[in-house]
Amino acid sequence: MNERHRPRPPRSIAVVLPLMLIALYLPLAVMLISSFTDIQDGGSYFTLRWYHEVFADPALWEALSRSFLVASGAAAMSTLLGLLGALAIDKWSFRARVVLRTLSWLSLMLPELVLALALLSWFALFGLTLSLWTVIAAHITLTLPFVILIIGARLKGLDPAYDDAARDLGAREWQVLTRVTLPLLAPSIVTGFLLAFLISFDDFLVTFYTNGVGSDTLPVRLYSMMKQGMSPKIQALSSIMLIVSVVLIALLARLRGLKSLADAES
Amino acid sequence: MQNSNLLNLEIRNIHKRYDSQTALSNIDLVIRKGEFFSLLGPSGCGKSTLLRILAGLESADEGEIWWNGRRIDQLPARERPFNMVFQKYALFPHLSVFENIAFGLRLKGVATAEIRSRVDEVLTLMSLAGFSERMPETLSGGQQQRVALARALANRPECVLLDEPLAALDQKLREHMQTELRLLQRRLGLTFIFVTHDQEEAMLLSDRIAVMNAGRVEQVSTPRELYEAPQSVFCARFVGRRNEILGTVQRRDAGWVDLSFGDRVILRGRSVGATPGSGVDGKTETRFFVRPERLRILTANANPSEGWNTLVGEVVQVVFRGTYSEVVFAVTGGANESTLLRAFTDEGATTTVGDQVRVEFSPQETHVFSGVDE
Repeated sequence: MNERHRPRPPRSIAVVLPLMLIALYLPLAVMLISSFTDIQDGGSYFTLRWYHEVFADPALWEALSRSFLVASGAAAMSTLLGLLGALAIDKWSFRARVVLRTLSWLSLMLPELVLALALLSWFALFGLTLSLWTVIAAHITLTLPFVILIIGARLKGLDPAYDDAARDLGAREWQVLTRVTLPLLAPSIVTGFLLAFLISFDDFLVTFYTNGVGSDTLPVRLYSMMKQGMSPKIQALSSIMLIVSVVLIALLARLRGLKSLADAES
Repeated sequence: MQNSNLLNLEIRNIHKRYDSQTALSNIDLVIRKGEFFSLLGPSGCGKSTLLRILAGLESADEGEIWWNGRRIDQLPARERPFNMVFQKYALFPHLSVFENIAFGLRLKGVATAEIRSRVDEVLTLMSLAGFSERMPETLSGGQQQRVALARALANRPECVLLDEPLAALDQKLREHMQTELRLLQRRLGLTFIFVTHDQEEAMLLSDRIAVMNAGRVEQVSTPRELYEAPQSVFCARFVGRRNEILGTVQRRDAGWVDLSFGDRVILRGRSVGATPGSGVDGKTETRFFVRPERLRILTANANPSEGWNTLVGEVVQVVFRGTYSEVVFAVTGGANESTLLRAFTDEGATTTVGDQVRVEFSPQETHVFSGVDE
């Protein structure tokens, strides 16, 4: 279908859409601003006080470092497993590929709560004590499909002639992998890792159900702080999480790995 | 096949099937050392598959490959003294021109200094000096093509396999690269096995050509033999232009066939291979093939040559082709169908549409093939 022949959208969309976007982003802006604002004697002043409070709180530091540990551990494992999975899927028969790809996609659409509860009963079944390790295991499950899909999409787009050329020039199978396939997959491997990190770092629901006592990650910590009411300190903490996410998303966008995923689906 | 000369490539009885489909059957070829040998055929004829089997990138179901008296078909690609130039070059996009060319040398553990000198050598050979640090994607199609050749040559193969290496280039560049490729091959004295679907390219470049069709070799010969004495209907149709004249077999003897064309005209042609058709004389139809440049247009009162075939017709089109003219005429006095024939002539200017013409052609240049209408 030629783009010219698509029906024109109603004019009102030109007003509605910006309004919706403003409604979406305004709260974030408000949050950022409030995190730098101190209200005293009816006046508002710029302050870093809330950030000082956040960084002075040892419990928050622990939660933050746990979040980084969980996110990097889960992302690393799921990148490794995802890479191997994608390589295996690529070599398998068409039928096996379809089944695995469908399963990967399906798990992306499953309600996260269902996944969280299923994992929880799974850990209970094996008598595993809930801890940071169960969180990491759960996050691997959560992020693996993304990694498989991202690396798989890139792999599918690779011309098999590169492998043939490497073999023809004297490469053994493992050398084909290390000298040609992996370097060509590198952008998608990094993308997969960053995306897995982002998902894990932000995750609340699965973490909430699968973590043990005293192993709160930042989002879970944030949640329990919220129970005592909103405070500028929470806004400062949220802003930190926002900034980490934005930085990761910017990195992802630079790598354009998401684009290759989108291309593979079209 | 029991060739005493060991300096060659022998392909013995290669068979290859994909699922139920036969890709190659009964391929027997001997390619001489230093020869520019083309595998020519339409897409899907198995020529690329055969090349990949030679390279070791695919294995044959049956058959043997011998190189200089050594059996190589069970060796992996890396142990064969061949290197390949791929259709779309397959230059590694993450490596510079230098690293692309050095790829095979590094794998073989060649010393760094030696790698540098060998890469420089092929870069110079391919007029690519100064390009060594460029990435493949920054090069033009022609330059990429040269890098692909340089990468193959850097490994000092005894035989270079080329899979339609010029197909992706535009016409002008392709003609230039054809000449360059031929000169390079002569200079290096290497065996080149060249896969192409372009018959003109094959004719221009090759010492010998194997015409392939539906997984079989139809004919192996020099370009001239292929053109002048095609061994099968397929070759006659695939290579060069031709006229086809449908008629009824009247008589067959010792390699000659008489064909009646319409009520009165009898044409004579040479049968290639077995005499065609097992049907009853006077009932069986078959086709004569004759090249357009072999039709001679007779002037109004000239006498036809003794023993030659003659036909009359009305000119329906004259196409000026620069060095020659193409005269298309509808044969009159034929059977129920109107046969269009074309003649290439130097004197097209004197012929115009609507003219009555008489043409003659030698029975020696008129071919009939067995199995032509199967």
